[in-house]
Amino acid sequence: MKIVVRNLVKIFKVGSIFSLKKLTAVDNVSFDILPGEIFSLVGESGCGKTTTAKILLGLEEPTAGEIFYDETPLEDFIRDKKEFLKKVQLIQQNPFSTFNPFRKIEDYLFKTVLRFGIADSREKAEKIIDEKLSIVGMSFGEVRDRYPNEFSGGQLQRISIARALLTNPSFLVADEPVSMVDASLRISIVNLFKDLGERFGISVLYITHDLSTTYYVADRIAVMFRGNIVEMGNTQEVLDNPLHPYTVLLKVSVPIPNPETSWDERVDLSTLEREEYFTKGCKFAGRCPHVKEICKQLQPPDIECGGRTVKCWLYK
Amino acid sequence: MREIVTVENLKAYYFIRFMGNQTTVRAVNGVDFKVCEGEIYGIAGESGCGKSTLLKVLFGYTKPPLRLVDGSVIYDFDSQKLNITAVNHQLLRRVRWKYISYVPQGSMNVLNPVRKVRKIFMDVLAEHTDMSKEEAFYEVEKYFEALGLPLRVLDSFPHQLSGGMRQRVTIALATILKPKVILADEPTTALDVVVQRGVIQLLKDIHDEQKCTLIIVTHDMGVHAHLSSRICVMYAGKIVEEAPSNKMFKDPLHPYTKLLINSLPSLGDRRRREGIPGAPPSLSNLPPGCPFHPRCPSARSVCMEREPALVTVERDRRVACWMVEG
Repeated sequence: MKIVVRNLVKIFKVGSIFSLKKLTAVDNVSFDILPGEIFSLVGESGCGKTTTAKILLGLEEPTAGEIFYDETPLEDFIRDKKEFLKKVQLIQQNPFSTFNPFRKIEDYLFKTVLRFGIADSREKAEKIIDEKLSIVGMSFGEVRDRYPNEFSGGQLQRISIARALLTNPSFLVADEPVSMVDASLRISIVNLFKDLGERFGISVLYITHDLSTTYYVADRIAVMFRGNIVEMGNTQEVLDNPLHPYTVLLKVSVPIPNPETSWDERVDLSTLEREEYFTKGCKFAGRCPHVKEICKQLQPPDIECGGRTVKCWLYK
Repeated sequence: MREIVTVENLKAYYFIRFMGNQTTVRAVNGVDFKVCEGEIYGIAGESGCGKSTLLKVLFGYTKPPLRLVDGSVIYDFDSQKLNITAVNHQLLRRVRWKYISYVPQGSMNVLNPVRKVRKIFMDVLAEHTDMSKEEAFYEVEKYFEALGLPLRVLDSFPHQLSGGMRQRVTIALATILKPKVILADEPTTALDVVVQRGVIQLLKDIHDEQKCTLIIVTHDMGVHAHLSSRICVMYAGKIVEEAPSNKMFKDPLHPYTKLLINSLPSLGDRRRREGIPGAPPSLSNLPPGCPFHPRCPSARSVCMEREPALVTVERDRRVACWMVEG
């Protein structure tokens, strides 16, 4: 499925009646997700990546902008909720809160199959569930009659991926799918996403703040900062040779598991994050090492630079 | 180097009785290690390996259902020995925060939501020192300036701050009395990389300035590589390997450590990697022999029958594995 997002804007009103401010959580964001592609939205918490995902899922109304799913506008596509959910599925961050602890795991799986009319009997449903669980390296025997507390976080995350696959979706939104999973099990979940694109042609929107798994799994990357996409392009190109000062900062801040590498420079965190939303020019200007006068006055445009877009005055 | 913390054969279990069934969760199951003064000691391992429980016991926090079964934790403050597992409540209150400090897991959510940050700090100073209100007021500002935290934070409520800022405020709160030993449980988890780097920097600054001892628990090997000088890896309530961090990363000996380090994806490398097969064992139902043998790629018959002991292979290196002994 091809997803096209154009000039998406979401404005939240924050504060009380007296100190009402408009916070632009998603500021003029445009990107495409190609069929079978893993597209990654990267950024720190509060950069608007989850809001973007919520709008894509129809959970949040955009203030402005357009979204097309295979040329159908989102408003039309979502009218038939069942058909929409069949094609678009979500994988959440915390596998422990995805499942109700008092409900059996198989309940969730059977409900999904029966509700979407994928199978008409329990026997047929069981076969389909087993098939999907085998994609994630589990079997129905493992989940039969068991409750969520009997599984580890990694296993639960696999089950939620299998559950999302039950409807044969063409687009998956994965919101920080591995941040609550143990480091040793993380890679096996990430491998699953890699396979989904290659084997089933499912497009994946992979939202994360972890650059190392992004580098490993994503085809294209968009780096978000305070509501803007500051850099977008091929994952390897962007992360091997980042252009925007914020991407550079992100890249060097990844703790590499090697004690011989160390950070030479100190990182400056003295600004309060929320204030950066209300700055006039480039939102990174307060922390940028290459800041110029124009950065403080005017927001930089999207600049095409060797097959990628960068939002920075440096490259004008 | 003087050993400031000595942990000997520590066993702490959770005893859970539910509907007539007694379950024993062996969270810390025979741990011993020593930490020297001024060291940054890292404890690594997956969730459910007992590392957080170990830290709680080190802080003298054994409340039911957690119970100390065996062993001792001895602190050595200015040649005054203190067995934290056997001191009374009053002494514990005097020792905590002033000598031993603890940054709990998810500590960005521990601040009182209806009190301004400055008040929270002044409460701590009023409770533990005989400073006057005015002195305390300036002391807090002085400390924030020394740590490079913005003073505006002091006059905000916790909910007005971002997660990373709250985390740094909690670390400042835990260290304002200049404790000798700081225990930190996952101080950088759930933070973004840039903020995480800031927190690592803050912990390092505090360590360098106050010459304190840090014991850091985290599952993130990248954080250990940047922070810890010596690391131990825990698995199923036991230490399986202990080594200085450069040796640990260059040449891990235990198969679990090898897999743990190799399973990490890194920037600039898109080759396919495999995770550790299987899942960590349940601490209430441990497999016989070496607890890692069901997941170990090089398990032999001896691994299934007998448990390997933690043996010293080099001067500063200990490993618990049948493959390495010899």
